[in-house]
Amino acid sequence: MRRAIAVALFELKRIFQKPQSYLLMFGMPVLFTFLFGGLFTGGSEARPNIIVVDNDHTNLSDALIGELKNQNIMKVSMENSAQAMELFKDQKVTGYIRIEAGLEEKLMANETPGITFVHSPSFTGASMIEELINESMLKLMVGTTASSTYSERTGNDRQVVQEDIISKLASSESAIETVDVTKSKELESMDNITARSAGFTIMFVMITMLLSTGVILEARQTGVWYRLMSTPTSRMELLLGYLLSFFLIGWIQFGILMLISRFAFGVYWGDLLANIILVSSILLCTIGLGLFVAGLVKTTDQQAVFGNLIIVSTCMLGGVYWPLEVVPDIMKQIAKFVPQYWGLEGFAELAVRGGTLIDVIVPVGILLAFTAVFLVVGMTRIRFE
Amino acid sequence: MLEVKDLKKSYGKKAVVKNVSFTIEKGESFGLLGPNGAGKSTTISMICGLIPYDHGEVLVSNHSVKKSPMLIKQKIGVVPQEIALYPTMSAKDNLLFWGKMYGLTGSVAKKRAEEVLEFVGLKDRAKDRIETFSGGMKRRINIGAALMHEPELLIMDEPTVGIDPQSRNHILETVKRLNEKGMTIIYTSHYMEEVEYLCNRVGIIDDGEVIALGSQAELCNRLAGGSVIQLIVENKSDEAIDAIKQLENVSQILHTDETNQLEVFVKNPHDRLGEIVSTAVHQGMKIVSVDIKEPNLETLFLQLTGRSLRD
Ligand SMILES: Nc1ncnc2c1ncn2[C@@H]1O[C@H](COP(=O)(O)OP(=O)(O)OP(=O)(O)O)[C@@H](O)[C@H]1O
Ligand SMILES: [Mg+2]
Repeated sequence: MRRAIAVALFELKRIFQKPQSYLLMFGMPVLFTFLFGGLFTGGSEARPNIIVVDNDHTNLSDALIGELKNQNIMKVSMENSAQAMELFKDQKVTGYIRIEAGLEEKLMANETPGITFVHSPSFTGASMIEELINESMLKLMVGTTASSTYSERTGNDRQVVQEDIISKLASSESAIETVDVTKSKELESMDNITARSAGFTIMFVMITMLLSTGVILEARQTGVWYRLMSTPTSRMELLLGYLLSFFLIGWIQFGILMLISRFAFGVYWGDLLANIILVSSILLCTIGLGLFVAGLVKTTDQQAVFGNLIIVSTCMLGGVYWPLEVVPDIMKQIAKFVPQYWGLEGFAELAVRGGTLIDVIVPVGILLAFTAVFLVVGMTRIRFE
Repeated sequence: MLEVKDLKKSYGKKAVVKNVSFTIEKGESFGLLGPNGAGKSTTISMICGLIPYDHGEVLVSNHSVKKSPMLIKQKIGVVPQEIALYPTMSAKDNLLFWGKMYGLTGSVAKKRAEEVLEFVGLKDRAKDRIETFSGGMKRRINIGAALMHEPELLIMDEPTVGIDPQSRNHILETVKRLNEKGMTIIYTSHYMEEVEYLCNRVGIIDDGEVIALGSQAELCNRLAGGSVIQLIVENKSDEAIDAIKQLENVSQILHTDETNQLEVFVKNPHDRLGEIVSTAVHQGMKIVSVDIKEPNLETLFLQLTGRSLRD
């Protein structure tokens, strides 16, 4: 086991010592995400598009809508309830705010007024808008309470009115109820930047894994393998060490790329545990593919040519370069036979539909099935001696 | 220390190692001399447990390579014919890595790496990447990597191939020092001088078979004709060759159609030289050069196979 770890750490050191590794592992995927991410969105605006559904139709709801419109952080448009849901489903808008009837009565009775804010889980500006609604409601509430109190107690001490207002303010912490779409089949696909980010991360991890698994071929070519086999290192230890190094290298790349897209492109990845499982199974599948290709060829050059051909073509089929919505039905069916499709499915489940571990079981299972096939073929073809 | 018995290996129908047997005592320095493709590397790979043998047995300290390969690999240090190092890593990193593969712990490996670098004379280049090294320096680290775990038996497969004379001398001296410190050594080469300089016992291998085995003195005594007089002539004639063959003390004449070279095996070459030359001239051959070669491994190989070790 000590030898396996020594092999893994040495391979890690070897890859991260080369400056070109950083370009390939991190520079290229970020660039591709940036380029292709902007391609199919058609000049997306920075401001989120929010629909307001007014079921109250009172002065009070008008005033709230006015407040929201006055704030310049979102585009506000009015629709009825059905249309709003339709538009949200089609991902034409970021979310919608529904104001239920009876706003004034609830406020007067000091109950939580019925305001629902529905948005996709990946919408990062949600909390800001929530706060904005809360603030606007607070203002309205103060106004309402103040005026009613004032009319009831005309001529009374202003001190009393003010005290009342302050106490009302304190008790109105949750002026509205916001609802996240935690799990919804309403949203089908990822927004473009998320999809490209996930896709190109997968693609460049595959390319890196191809290079990494190529070290076995390289070792055979250079005579390093000969020397490895002349040391008292068992085949198990050696294979374990190599697999460990591939897995570690892959995780470092995946993790860093996910963090970069989180902060540079605002991509929301969703449930942490489910992501760990999903990424691990994508990695295993990719390592399997690398070993599979390595088993079919003799030299690292052949492996690079063959492997990259396979990777790029399956990435195109699997929806890495462009959304599958734009391709014909037959291609959509073919896509299901490449691993990348299932990787992206998994990410969509987590990032867009707010899924958890249970929801990615199918993609993870299919990825592991691919892995099993690749590994069985790949490993049996590795020759010792 | 090492016993090799009736070793055989075929690739497909091609028998590469046909019948190789020899034993080596502890502290010995054994040379395996043979031309390209003789089966030296194949024999060595079988001794190290790298490729399985079809027939025979290899015992290292009475342990069978077949039965306990790991135990034996720990005792042996192999210097492969190729440079088996990671070119983008430093000399030190390479040594540390190979040390760990031989089971050394971190601190021991560090200490050994320093010692080995010192020993092969590359301490000042420790942090430089292997790819920046000259051919000779790479060869030295290639040897160093096999010394990390202080093996009982060091097996070197043509460690001086393709390097300049200076590096070569450095390596030969290094090997000599190791042997003097008590390390048992197997040294393969097709350079007779290297084996002559380093090894007390020699096995000559050709076409997968050991054709001569013994100490250098023993082998040279086996040379029936003693020395060789090499004649280079302008016009070779069979009559002339026959005439020389009839002369006293001449045991054998080797020549090929392609070259104008005659190798005359003869005892007391200095006494016989005049007669041989005059006979040749008398028979109408024009002599370009004459060279007397004292009995050595090269002439032995020539006599046994009719070919020279290298072209
Ligand atoms: N894996 C193999 N498959 C088929 N033939 C092989 C294989 N390995 C070696 N041979 C053949 O076996 C013969 C002996 O090879 P080997 O490498 O042992 O020679 P060598 O004495 O080390 O020669 P050199 O001085 O060139 O290194 C050669 O003819 C070679 O072609
Ligand atoms: Mg060889």
